[in-house]
Amino acid sequence: MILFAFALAYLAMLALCLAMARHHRAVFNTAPTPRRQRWLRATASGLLLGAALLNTASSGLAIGLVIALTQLMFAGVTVGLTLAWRQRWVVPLGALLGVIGMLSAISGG
Amino acid sequence: MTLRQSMAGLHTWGGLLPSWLLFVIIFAGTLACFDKELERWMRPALHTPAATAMTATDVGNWVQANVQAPLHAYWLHGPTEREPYWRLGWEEDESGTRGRVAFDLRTGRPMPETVGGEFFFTLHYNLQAGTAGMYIVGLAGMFMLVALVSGIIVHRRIFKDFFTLRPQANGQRAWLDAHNLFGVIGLPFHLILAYTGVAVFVASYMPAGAMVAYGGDPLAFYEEVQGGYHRNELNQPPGQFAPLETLLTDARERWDGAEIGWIIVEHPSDASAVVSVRRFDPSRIGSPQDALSYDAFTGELLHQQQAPAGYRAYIWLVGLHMAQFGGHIVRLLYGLLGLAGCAMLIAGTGVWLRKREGRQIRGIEIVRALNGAVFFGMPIASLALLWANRLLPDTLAERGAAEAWCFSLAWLAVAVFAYLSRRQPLGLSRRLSALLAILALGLPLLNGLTTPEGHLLASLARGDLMLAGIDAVLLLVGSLCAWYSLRSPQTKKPAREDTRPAARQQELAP
Amino acid sequence: MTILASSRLANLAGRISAALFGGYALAYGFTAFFSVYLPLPRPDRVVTASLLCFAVWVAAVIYAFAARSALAAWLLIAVLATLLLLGAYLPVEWRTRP
Repeated sequence: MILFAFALAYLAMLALCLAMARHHRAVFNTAPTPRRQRWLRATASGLLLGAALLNTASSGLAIGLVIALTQLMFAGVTVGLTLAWRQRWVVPLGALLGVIGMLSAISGG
Repeated sequence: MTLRQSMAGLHTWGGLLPSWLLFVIIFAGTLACFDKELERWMRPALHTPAATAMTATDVGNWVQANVQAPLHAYWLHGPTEREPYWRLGWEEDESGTRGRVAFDLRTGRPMPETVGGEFFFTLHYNLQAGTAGMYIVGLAGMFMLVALVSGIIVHRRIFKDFFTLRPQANGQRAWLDAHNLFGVIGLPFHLILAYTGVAVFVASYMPAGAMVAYGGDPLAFYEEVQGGYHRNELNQPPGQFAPLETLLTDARERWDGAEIGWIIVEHPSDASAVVSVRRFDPSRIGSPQDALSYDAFTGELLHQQQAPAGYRAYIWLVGLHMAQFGGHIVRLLYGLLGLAGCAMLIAGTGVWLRKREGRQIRGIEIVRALNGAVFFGMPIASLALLWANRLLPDTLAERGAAEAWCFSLAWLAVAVFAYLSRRQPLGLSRRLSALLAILALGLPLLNGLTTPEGHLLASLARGDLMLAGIDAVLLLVGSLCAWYSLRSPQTKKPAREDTRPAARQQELAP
Repeated sequence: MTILASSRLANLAGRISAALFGGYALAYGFTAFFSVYLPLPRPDRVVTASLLCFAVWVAAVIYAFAARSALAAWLLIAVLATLLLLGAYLPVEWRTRP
């Protein structure tokens, strides 16, 4: 569950990042439309909330929030570093983490 | 001078000057997240699990038999999952000298001496320099808070640049991007850990409250704020001690089967001796504050701790800093963010250096020397400590002191080398990376040669992931350093002509 | 040293001392004052006031460098610290109330 929450945190940070024109252009070669930017930011909020809920469900309120916040920060750094050196990996990495996270959640992680 | 200019100056100098001290503190703190795992790694007797018949009473008897000097107090802690052994510490009455012993559960006898993972924890909060060191660390913490706040004020595009890192940009820009990435994304962590870190020793750093509200009587303050129990010495010889285990059984009953944590015996050489028992509960951020105090001879319950709300809030903040709650994932995340803090400091000095490159400032050589001495010295010295732990014979007297000497001498050697090489920074970092790689990659090998149960293959086979994790991290760090030191030196890009308008150039200040 | 350089040094020294020593005095005064006047039981007053004092010291440091001049910095910090300390130390009986 914690692993799945981290996947959500990474995807949230990725969405937030891609909502910015500069980074969207770097990854997709086109500027994001305002609609896409709103959608990405809304998705980011949802994923963030999801990560917080999953963590508090598995570890309690206080500890869950600590884990959620630290996961978010680590995810943000990961997105930033990946974007800087392995730009093409930043989205596939999110997909991979999502799959690993879901598998771990299903198998009772 | 505008606010931005003054804060930029404050951030630059208030940030640069304590950088190296803060690196030591934060790096040691990062290692200390796993101090208990490192302690197990450093004690081969603990590599495989052992059942035990050793009890608190046995430890108490050992103290009576082996520690001659009258004691102010002694304290012991039973085996836990992360620390599978009995721990004992004491303080002598007259001299205040402290001693500590760790017991092998199989034999009931003390294990060979080692500084253990606790070395990094102590280095973190007092630089292994006692009370003076504690105050220096506190001051460094205040500098960090000021640097963080002034950095926020100075940052021009804090949201727009949130994920921005352009390693290919010209020197100063790339370092500044990195400094901002690690600093801003990790800001909640850096702020909270700096503040809670300073708050841990608030009673020492800010005695005003006790002075004013308790008539300058710190003991009265401690007693009331902790809600604990204190009995004055009667200056009479002690009686027959009740076996500690009977007290623990009573405590477990009163707490509905909770796990026992620290057991503290105060004034054991006096008729007023009291045994305090604390609960062990890593499922909450703040440690439990419901200690039970017993008469050491009759076993009568004298008091249960009633901690006021303020103290419990303080303990919660301390707990938030110490990361002993929530399992390994919390410590892993704290450790990674601690490394981000270290990266922020390194990048900060990188910005300062790059901006002044090409200018003949005396400071540049000093900063380069310090960078090599500290940013490489600290990790290399830490590895040297672990090498010493594996190589020093078990029977060596003062084995712990010898380990600490290896740490210090390794650091000194790196510092001297860094000073001598201060004019060739690229060569310096490649050579020190190579040394770091050799030490880090060699350690798991040495581990395999010296501890049959402790090396990576053995611990993986047993499913001992925490022990295996240490060797795995060593291999990872070693590989990264080897890669860095072996890759072909990139020809330094000539500093690009700065043709942008002056206003844009200003952005790169300070 | 030129007049300009020595006045800049004096300015810097003034601000640094205001930040370091004035700031600590302000934090001390803050802690003492609120350890007396917070409407809480005594141990809670002291803990709360003490835990907040680091934020006060940081604010004082920021102000010491943001202020118009080193003199202005010292003036405000010293006046505030003095008022807080006086307020804390004067009511002898009341400040040790439970």
